[in-house]
Amino acid sequence: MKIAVCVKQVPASSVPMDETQGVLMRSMAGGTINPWDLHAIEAALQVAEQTGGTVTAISMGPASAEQTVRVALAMGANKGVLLCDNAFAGADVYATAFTLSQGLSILGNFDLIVCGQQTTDGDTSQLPFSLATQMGIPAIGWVKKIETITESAITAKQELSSGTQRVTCPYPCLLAVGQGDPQPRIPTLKNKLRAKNASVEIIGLQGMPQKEETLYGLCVSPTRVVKVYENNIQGKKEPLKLSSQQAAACLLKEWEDAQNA
Amino acid sequence: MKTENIMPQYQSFLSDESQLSGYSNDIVFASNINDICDILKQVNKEGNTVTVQGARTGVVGGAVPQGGLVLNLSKMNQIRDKTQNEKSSILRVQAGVTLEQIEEAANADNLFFAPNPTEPTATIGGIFASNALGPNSLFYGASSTHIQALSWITPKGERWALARGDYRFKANKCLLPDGTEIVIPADLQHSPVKIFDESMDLIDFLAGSEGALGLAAEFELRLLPLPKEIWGVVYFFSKPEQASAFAKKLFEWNNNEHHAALTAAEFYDQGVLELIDASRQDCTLLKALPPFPANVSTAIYTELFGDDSDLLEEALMQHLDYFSDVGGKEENTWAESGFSSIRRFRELRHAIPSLLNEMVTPGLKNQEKRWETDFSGSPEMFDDFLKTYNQALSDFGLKGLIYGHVLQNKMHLALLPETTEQQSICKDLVYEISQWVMQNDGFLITENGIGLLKQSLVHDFMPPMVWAAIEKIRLHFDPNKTMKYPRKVE
Ligand SMILES: Cc1cc2nc3c(=O)[nH]c(=O)nc-3n(C[C@H](O)[C@H](O)[C@H](O)COP(=O)(O)OP(=O)(O)OC[C@H]3O[C@@H](n4cnc5c(N)ncnc54)[C@H](O)[C@@H]3O)c2cc1C
Repeated sequence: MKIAVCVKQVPASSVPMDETQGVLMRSMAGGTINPWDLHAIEAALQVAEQTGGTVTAISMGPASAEQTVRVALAMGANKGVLLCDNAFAGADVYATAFTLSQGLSILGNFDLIVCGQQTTDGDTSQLPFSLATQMGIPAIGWVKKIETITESAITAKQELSSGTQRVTCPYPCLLAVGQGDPQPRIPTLKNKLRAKNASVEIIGLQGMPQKEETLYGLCVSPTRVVKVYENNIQGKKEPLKLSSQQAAACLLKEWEDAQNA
Repeated sequence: MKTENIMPQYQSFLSDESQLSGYSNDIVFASNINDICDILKQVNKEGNTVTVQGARTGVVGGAVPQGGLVLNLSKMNQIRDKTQNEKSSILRVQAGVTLEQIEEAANADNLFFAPNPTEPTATIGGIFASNALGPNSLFYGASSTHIQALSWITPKGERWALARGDYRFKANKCLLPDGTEIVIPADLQHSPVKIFDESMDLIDFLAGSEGALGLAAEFELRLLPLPKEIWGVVYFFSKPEQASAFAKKLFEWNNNEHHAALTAAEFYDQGVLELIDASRQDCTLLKALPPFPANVSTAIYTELFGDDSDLLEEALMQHLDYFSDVGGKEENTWAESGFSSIRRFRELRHAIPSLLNEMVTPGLKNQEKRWETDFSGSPEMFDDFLKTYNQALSDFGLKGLIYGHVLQNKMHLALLPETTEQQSICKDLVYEISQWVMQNDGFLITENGIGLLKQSLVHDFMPPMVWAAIEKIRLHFDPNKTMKYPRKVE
């Protein structure tokens, strides 16, 4: 099975913002791998180990994001690719997903693409779905566990706010994984040393199938970051004091409302 | 600054991480050197005694008062300044500044405080007073050697400015800032606790004195540039003999000059790995770790620092060869590089004493719930020490954990009695090993101090002439016996 895992460099500390451009000044904060992506790499490696497949780690980012790709190589990925070009800079979710879809399309036909469910900087949780949409493949989000892998499809358990759900998808498809078990492996010494010296393939605008600069980066990004702030939700939750009958009636009503909605 | 009643709001200041509990009515929080001097002068006038406290993270009860006044320095937590030139970087801090504050201030300029005795909330005063040894002491030595200067307050409340090199012992004598000469009695060489080395700096002599000879109020700490490359590697072994054989190879390697520095080598026995596994669910840090490789029983954690990436890589490859020579499997290693990435390995190491501190067997008296020793001996003998600990555990049928600085032969043996009968056996075991350690020119106490917890052990193995020698030194510094500790337990 041919598997791709998308990884992103995120700021190691909080990021200042360029107010005029409405973009985050990531270079000022030092980089590290998005922690959610470590779970994506682990999931991809486990699928590859079970199926005898290969894992390609791909990232879009500045030259320093090569280190992020090396993290995946150290954990056991077979190949690393960085999509890097000034033209890609300032990309929002839509533009990033477009760039990744372009990069993935020239690397071959992947049966499975694995992403972290979200990042610690953008936090939108939208990239995996935007990528799947642009590639025209189905996606399973909020994956808690991969349950079965057959030759034609993969079954995963999703964790949703309303409960858990089991979904089966035929290949090619995309999984967006959460931060639960299994915990990401720690590289072995040999892999870590190997990754340090391994070559990471760099693909720029000229290597992409679509070469018009105007299709990438800030100029095609419909979203603008206006302000970065911590969402300080301080809603006070009053505990309800109900008898068991009242509580049961309450729950029943909520369930009926949900059914009718 | 005013003296306050301990009860009710300061009750927790009667205890520390040893879980021992003491007694006292009064506490005072000093905010600067003048406060300390005034308090000590007052205490001398009243004929009272003083127990000095930092953050009370000490594990032997050194900060637990036995009456008198509690003098707490945790509010003296100001970082004064940082001076940097080509030769050195110095951080000036008050005694109550914590290891975490020091690291933060140092790391901001790509520097670090090498001793790293791991507990982030410990104060530099407490670290100095117990001469704490972190894993990196393998390469960087004891904490005190990274102290360039300090303000020492004598038990009478006088201030001494001590700069490294200004006051040194010659043979067994040292001229002190007050013009008196301290003479170290020859009998001290028979001490089961290492106190004195010839040509020692006075700063190093005062380190580890546990608030008995006065107190340290301000420090000038020497910071070092962060090395360009930092690696942490955990090697897991299926058999303990493999770990010993690997440690022997590392020991030999470390005896030669290299461009990469082996800065830590920590041993974890099977009990430690089991304790970590059993605690995973309750501890966020441990929960985030993947499971240990299957069928492993022992581990050795190493850190390598260097500025040349290729040479450091060479050293790592050499260690990996040693690991396979002793039968280790390559997949049974964990490796990380970079200061922030190895942090979780350091936190794993730190979790061991933390978890042990939290373990209380219901029904057992606090003082005896756990026996933890930190014997040490000549580094070449680490394997003999390990074998002796394991043999004693099996002879006595007790559960124990062994961990610590293996290449320095400074390992901890923690005993976990589950019944009252086992408690008394623990004591027998500790005494039996103590005897063996003394016969082999080792030391009974190395790392965390004597405190209250280990007084009886020291007392039982301390020849009377050594006690007399210590008493003589103590009286030279503290003729009015103002400082609470240590004293002979009758
Ligand atoms: C989880 C954990 C892990 C640890 N790991 C290590 C380790 O790896 N290596 C190691 O060596 N230690 C370790 N320690 C112990 C550590 O050494 C102590 O916590 C620390 O040195 C004491 O600092 P403190 O500020 O808490 O001092 P306190 O506990 O408050 O006091 C300790 C002793 O120092 C005296 N004292 C305090 N401040 C001063 C001062 N300014 N002047 C003179 N005397 C003073 C006190 O009277 C007392 O005798 C660990 C502790 C914990 C809890």
